[in-house]
Amino acid sequence: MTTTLRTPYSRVWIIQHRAGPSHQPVFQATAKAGAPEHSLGDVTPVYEPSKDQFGKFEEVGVTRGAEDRPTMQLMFRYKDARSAIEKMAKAGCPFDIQVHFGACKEPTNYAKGWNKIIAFENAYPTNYALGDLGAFEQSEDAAIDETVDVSGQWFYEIIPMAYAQRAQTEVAQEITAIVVGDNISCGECDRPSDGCQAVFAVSAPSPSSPGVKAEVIFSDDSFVTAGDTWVSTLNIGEDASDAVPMGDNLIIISNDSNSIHWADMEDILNGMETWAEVSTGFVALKVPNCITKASAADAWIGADDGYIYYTADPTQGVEVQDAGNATTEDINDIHAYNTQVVIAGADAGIVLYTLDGQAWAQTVTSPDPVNLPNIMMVCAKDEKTWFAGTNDGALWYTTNQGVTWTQKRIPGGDDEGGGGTLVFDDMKFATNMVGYLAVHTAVPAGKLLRTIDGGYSWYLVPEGAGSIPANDYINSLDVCAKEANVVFAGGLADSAADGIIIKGS
Amino acid sequence: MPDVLWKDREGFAWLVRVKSDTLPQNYGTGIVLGPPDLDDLDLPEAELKSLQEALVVARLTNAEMIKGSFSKLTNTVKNALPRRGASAKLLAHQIKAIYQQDYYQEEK
Repeated sequence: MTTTLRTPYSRVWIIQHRAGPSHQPVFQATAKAGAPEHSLGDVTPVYEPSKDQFGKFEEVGVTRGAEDRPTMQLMFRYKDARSAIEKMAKAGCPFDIQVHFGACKEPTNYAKGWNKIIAFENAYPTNYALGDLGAFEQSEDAAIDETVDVSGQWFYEIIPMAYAQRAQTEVAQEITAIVVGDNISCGECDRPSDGCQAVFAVSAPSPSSPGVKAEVIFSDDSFVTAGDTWVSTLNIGEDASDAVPMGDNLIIISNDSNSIHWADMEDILNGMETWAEVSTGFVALKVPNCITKASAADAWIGADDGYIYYTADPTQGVEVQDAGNATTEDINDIHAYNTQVVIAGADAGIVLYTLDGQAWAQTVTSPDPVNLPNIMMVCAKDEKTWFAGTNDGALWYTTNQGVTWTQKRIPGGDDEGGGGTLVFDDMKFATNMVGYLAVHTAVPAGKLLRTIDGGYSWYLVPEGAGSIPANDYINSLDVCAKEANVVFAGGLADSAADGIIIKGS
Repeated sequence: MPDVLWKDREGFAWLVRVKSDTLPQNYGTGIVLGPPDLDDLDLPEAELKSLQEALVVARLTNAEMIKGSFSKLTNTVKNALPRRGASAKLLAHQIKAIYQQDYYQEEK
């Protein structure tokens, strides 16, 4: 059952300098949010003379005007103490705003005191004003308010999510990677989509007996229904290690075959794909483990012995970008923030980075120079803020490109300073504020966490009662374009033999 | 040339390609299209016969035919061997492995 939201049930939170692992959301006890507004661009008709009638014209199309930045007004009661709002507004720095709606909850409980959130990102103050400061007569006696007009990048909703297993019949092997291969489209050149429909999961069948070929489990309706196929160019017993959608193609890398396997995504969805294998550029024994992309023409592959490959066109092959010069440790995960900033996590506490998309180096310090754990997961949240998750129970972050690192404590069994057994498997941010994190315990048991404040705090999902579908671990997460409330997860089922796909929405 | 169901003397079903005018009693002279040998499933003979016939009826008799149809394969196994219950999916997985090994070994 849904309920109509009402203004008395909203509260304002502000995250100064934007959401991030070191920026705490602050409850604004005396604030109210005005009406957010987002002009999406005018529609102007294009006419041509009518072929049927003189003096008449027919609409043959439309042109769209530019989107405006969304705007909103924040109002605060003016106090006799130094105004933090005036100071913040006049500093002119961007900040993030959240308006929490809740009825039967504790408004100051940031993580759990809400039923719905309006998240307003990258807000710049454009005007600061105070109400009348004086009165001529008694009837003008009123509280003085300060008002800040803001212009943001975009605003969106955050809601509590439910998690369910999907494609149970089709999935029969451990899922090593799951990717959303979709864009928002009105259907002019493609299928209409909200950007969350086409999803692909690839599998690692080699532990299963008897062996079968690695599979792709796919869906063109956000895993309401699913299909399956296998990668014919991988031999029986060869696993798919990681995957990424690039352009029109699904790109799969295999540590076992030391090559790329690819097929057209639309053809996969239509059950008529042709797989091709490309091994050009791969060096013997420097086999690939992980892949990331920054655009349809920029991808990096992390490999054994510290090798990093680059490709502008994976259907043609790869080139060695770093031949184990920055480290000789095996690279476990790699993540591109853009075409310049790419980071990689390796064994023995090594984090590598490039700031120009080409030259790689180790960070000034290791996240954990004491234990030197294997870095299993990396995530570049922005150009300077990076996360690194280990295989010894610690999540670390840096806000200065690896000069210093700080541990981010999470619920679910992490260890202060590392030295534990919790393993960090994957992290994906859907927006600047909303992200997801997969970890697993030594049992093994996989857990999923969510942040709504850019990684400052994490909580175990789901938000309400219950739990996510039981699993041994989640290898891979992916999110959709411009949607904070959908996540796909793939890994090993609780049975230790079957695979699992979980969708949160 | 039609593909038809043919049962051998022991009662095992096969998908067989025959000439258009072939009489049912002569289906055994056709080209056997599948399925491959399913002995590795370690099923009792009666169950194996039921399963094999169901696979032939569903036209799931080689790797190409089951590609993209794992759900259909699992349902076919479930319907043919209702007492197998939850292990039907594992059996379907094993059938897929046998089919793939047969198909891709031949391809080599």
